Amino acid sequence: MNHYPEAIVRLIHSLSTLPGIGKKTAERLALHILHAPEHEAAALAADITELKKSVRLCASCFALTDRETCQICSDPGRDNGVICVVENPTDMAAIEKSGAFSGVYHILGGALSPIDGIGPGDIRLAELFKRVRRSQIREIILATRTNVEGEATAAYIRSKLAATNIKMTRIASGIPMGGELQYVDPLTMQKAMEKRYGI
Amino acid sequence: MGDFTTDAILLRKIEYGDHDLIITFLTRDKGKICVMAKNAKKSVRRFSGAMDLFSVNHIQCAFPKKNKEAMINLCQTVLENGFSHIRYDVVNTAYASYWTEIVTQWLEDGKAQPDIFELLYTALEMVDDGFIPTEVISLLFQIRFMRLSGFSPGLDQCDTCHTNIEDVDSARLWFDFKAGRVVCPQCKGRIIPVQEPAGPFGAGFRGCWVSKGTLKQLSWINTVEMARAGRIKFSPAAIQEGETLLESFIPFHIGRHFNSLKFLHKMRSEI
Repeated sequence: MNHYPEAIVRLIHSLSTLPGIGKKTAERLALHILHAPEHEAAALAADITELKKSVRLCASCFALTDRETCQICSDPGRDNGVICVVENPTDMAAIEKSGAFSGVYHILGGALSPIDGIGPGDIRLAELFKRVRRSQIREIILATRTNVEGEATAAYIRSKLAATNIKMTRIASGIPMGGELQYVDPLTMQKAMEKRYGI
Repeated sequence: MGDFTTDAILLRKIEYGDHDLIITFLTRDKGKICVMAKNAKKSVRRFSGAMDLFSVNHIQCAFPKKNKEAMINLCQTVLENGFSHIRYDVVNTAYASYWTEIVTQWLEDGKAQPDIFELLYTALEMVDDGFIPTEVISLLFQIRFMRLSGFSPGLDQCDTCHTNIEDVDSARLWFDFKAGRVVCPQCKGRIIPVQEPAGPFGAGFRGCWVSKGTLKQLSWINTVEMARAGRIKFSPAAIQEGETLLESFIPFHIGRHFNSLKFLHKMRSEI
């Protein structure tokens, strides 16, 4: 890298710290930015600065937002009585893309993981229970992942809220649309058969 | 060296990059191994549903061809048992995590230990079946694991005067972690001060008091065949004493703190 000026070396180093970006890709991106018109490079730098300055967590659901409460929580058309509990903002985005849910979310920021030492105090469970106590909630949809950690988190929430009269549901597991049955694992197939529906 | 296939229990997985996983398996034939599962997060055909903790798979691996120092590649897995009932109970998940963490921390890489493979497999199966309380299965797993590892606790006679515990004139005996053996109250008074500093989970730092009845039950489940061992009825007090003893003795000998044990204690106090 000695053949490049210090500013390019620094940018290559910074870009290579991003996920999925190696030294070669970082070098290509740095040279692309160098050759791009000045206003484009300035806009990119400004966008990164603005992102760090303005994006924060929603005070209610902990989604990413640039306001005090996110777009979904402040939307009067959403049903505040139904909370969908997810692990991460990307999981929320996946459900939103489907357009199948009109309630609000609660983002835990992870899942319980005994081996990694992630306990109830390390994710936003206390905030969820506080929210449930404060608001008129009719249903909680547990949409944590279907791996061991996600199921354990769902089981923990279910046990902690068992004494309330809130309806608790779990997202269904089954055959993906367009999926080939021969590649479906036995556990998913078992769930799909258990939860089959009449037509 | 070519490919190999074996049965394996998934002990641990770590994300590597965007699509790959580094997985620790306890295999039947090759002991504990660490493998690279390339593209595991995306590949439905090769790793369908098999990349979850505690799952038992039939795995096919390949040794690296060029760089001999590189990790073994995981080529394909076939899920044999996913233990679907363990995952729906957070306490059972905590117990299974504790056992897999013990195995991960204790075993050497690449040294075949089929007895420990069978023990872990059987313990996970027992939890999944749900006929025996998980607390009892945990006592069974821990005491047998220590025996198979060559650190079987001595529970039948006093380590110092060699009096059989049946003949000791006291309801409780001291279990010394360092010696891994019981000591009668008379001998304990002679060798170490009676006042012990408090340790974690109700035990002292050097040992704990255990009733004769619990010692006899632990001794029995350590030696009888596995199928019969699960039938023994432990009282809640005996379970608590057994847990205190073994969950202090194992970390003492392994010399490290277990994340999952701390989690398990929290779950026990909450649920």
